[in-house]
Amino acid sequence: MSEKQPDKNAKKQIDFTIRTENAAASNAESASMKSWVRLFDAAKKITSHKQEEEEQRYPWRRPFSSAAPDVAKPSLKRDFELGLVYPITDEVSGARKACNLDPMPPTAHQFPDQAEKKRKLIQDLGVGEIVTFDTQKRVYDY
Amino acid sequence: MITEGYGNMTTNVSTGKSSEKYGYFLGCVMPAKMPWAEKSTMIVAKHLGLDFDYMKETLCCVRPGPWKTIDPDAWLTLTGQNLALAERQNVTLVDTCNGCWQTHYEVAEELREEPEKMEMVQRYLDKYGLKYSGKGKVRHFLQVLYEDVGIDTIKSKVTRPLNIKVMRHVGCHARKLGNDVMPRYFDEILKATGAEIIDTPLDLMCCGLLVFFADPKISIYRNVFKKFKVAQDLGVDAIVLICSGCYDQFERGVKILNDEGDPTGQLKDFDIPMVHLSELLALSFGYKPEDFGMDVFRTTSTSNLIAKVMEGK
Repeated sequence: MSEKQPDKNAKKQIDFTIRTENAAASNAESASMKSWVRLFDAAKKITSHKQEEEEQRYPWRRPFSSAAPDVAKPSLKRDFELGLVYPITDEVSGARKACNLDPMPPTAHQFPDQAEKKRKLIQDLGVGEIVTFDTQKRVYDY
Repeated sequence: MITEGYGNMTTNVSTGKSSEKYGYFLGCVMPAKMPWAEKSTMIVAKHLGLDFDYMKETLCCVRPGPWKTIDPDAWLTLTGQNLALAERQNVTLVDTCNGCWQTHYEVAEELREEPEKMEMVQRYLDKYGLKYSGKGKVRHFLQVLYEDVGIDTIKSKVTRPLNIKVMRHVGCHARKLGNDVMPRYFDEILKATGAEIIDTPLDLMCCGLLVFFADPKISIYRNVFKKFKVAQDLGVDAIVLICSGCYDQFERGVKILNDEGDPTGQLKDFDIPMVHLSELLALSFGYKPEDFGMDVFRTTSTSNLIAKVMEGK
């Protein structure tokens, strides 16, 4: 009896299941995502308060929790300072030119007055105090 | 403009003429990461005869995720700054990003419905010479294309039908007005280019952008990588989207895959291009890829897609 040959015309089976409950996925759950860790490292660099040091010195003190989550701190800082989340770097300007666009978009990148108004509004609204962002030092207190 | 009913939704169907002056709100991601989408959107709008130009001096929309959590009044006021700029420039604010559109749409609605909030926003803006009356209009680019230009006009402009297979990603916030509105517009416009849409059960699944800030593993491994894997298994030529926020998340997914691999083992190499709906429209209207830099600054290469479209096979 000849061995059964795979049917070349058979429709390719595609796994549409969303949950990934296999061993590899379990390993993934325990592994650290480097890009995620980098975001926290970036947040630590722009935060004056050193939670880890405080935990060493005062182990019974409740950890301080900022209104701005660590993971969002870097992008919020750019938002406070530029008025937008992403800067227009030289690389981006070059790419824009290659796409037949003005190297600098007509956003607040080109009109810093609007970003300044936004910064003042943020201060007026008390957001700086809520998230403890020091506009002079350009860091979060907490 | 004719009004038609679809189920319990009401949509406006174009008679093919629009005299509105549109201001394109770029947001954060479009000018910094998707210049090819920005350029092709401008090309398409002009080709369709719209009075369409940039809205100037714009800021972040602002993102409801972090801002509403920090202070809802700040979210209303800072979004009000953009809405006031649109009124001052006398334009209908047009978003291509679903997230920006939802922010502008929701804040405009909330301020119209709550006079006390409107008064608060006006008080803050007035201090800096900005006025917002609530009269300005907010539109998604899909609404402009489908409701103001009309699908028949779009079809009539197609000179190079695209012989490609694509997977669609409309994005969650485009569903705010129901599946019969923007998701249907997206599909019909995409089909007008000649592209064949391959339906998948994951079409409705979120890109995972907001989840990333709470649980990056679910966001990347179970949302982005799963979508990429299905696209790969289906052998599509491209994933088509319109939302800059979704693109930002997919780009993050590709970078993570390239830098760290996929510990779930579902995805190895991924090279399917993620393209904007406007790019396919521009190509179908006869524009060349180099007119809008289709091969520039891409997360995944568009070379195979461009070759296929230009060969016309």
